[in-house]
Amino acid sequence: MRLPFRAAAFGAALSLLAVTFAPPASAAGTTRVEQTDGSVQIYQDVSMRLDGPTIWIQNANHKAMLEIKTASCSFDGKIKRCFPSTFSLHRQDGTHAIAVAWGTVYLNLTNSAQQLPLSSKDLPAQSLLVLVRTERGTYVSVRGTIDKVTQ
Amino acid sequence: MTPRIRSLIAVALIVAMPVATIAQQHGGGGGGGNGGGGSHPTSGGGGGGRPQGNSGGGGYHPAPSAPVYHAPPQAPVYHAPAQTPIYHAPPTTTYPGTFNLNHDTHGQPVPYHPPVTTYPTTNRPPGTTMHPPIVTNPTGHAPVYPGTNRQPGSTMHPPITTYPTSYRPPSGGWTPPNHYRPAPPNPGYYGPYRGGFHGPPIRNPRYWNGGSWYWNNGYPWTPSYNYWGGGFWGGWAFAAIASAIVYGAIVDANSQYYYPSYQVQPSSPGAQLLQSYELQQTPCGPAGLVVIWGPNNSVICAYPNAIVSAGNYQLDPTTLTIVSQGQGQEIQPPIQQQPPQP
Repeated sequence: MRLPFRAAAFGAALSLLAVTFAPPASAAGTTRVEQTDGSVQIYQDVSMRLDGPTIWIQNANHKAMLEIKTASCSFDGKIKRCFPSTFSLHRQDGTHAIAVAWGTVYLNLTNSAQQLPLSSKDLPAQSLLVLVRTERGTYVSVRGTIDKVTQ
Repeated sequence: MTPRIRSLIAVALIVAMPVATIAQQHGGGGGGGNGGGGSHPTSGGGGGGRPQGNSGGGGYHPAPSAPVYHAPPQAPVYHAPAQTPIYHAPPTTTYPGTFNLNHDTHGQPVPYHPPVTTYPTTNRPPGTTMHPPIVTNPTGHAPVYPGTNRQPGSTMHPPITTYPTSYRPPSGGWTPPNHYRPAPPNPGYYGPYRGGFHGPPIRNPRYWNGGSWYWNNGYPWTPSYNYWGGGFWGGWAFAAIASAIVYGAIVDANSQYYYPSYQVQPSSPGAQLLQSYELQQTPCGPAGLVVIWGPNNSVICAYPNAIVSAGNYQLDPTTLTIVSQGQGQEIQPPIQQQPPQP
């Protein structure tokens, strides 16, 4: 009688541990950085979080994080289109504000794919697309599924 | 033998020796020479020397000269025209470390440069110049505009028709007056008349029954500083505004600022505003236009219609309405269509 009880308790404990220490949602994002000299760096498996008007993008080894604050958001159909107002890089050596020349952020917060404005491409459900050009000529694009949305 | 005879014989011998030598070199009958089998270049004959070739006797027959090889003329060598070097981007690499934005995080901050605008040529009588349509208080009674569908008892705010006497419509090749600067895109500033819009708002015919931000699915719209008009009229970033289509400008003689206008982008909040009021954008400058002052000192102009008469208006992005100057009741335009459901 005790053995089944112990087994059930052990299983429940394991389940609790699994939930508590569960790894974060699948980081299925990709960040592409194109330098002014034409070289390109691609960062796979970045995690993305939407916290109100701010987008947080963390690289796979958790050594750096991009912070993009959006503004001037409006809707084109069900696609939310915003402009990046601030763009910051958080690293171990501190926070670096990066001047943005122009850019656009597309958000699909619905549960179905939506067609991008003036494009034949779809933006998958719960995903975002960021296109930024910095003042110094660096192009940064981010695409992927949003791991967490906090309104 | 006398000495004289001896000398003669010696001379004859001396003369005969080279002849004999030559004869033996080229062979005559028998022996050596060229082609003869087993000829040996050395052979005797006639004393002295060791003549080349052999054979005895015979006259001198110069050997036919060996054919001289003449190389064929060289074929023309084709030289391909110089090609434009083809740029090959460095191979893509993946960095497991931080985001490589060193180029943007190092060095001095990039200074802000106000946009340099060029203005399209318009048909204007030669010799005329453009001056700011600075409006003061309206004079006289409001004229009645035909074609307006107003509610009984309501009044229509008179259009602003007072302009400085020096005002002239713009002409071709218009450029900003000397010493005039572009108005800074100050957040919260709606042109030179800020604080002076106390007139009745003109309800948005499309979003008339909605609350704040109804037109934006309930999401507040906030301006973005990097864009002209805060991004309300479209994604015209100041860094790239040179590619925007300029739609005239408003010049303020008091502050010596000029306010350039640009084409409203489709699907922008500004485009929604124009569609709601059935306004057609036109370049700023001529008199008798609807002048809408937007966020961050932006301005667009449109032709007046039955809903909106000529004059200066300030945008209220909360409700996507425009507010006029002066006094009067709220103007309720006819409802064109049912507002969309959020």
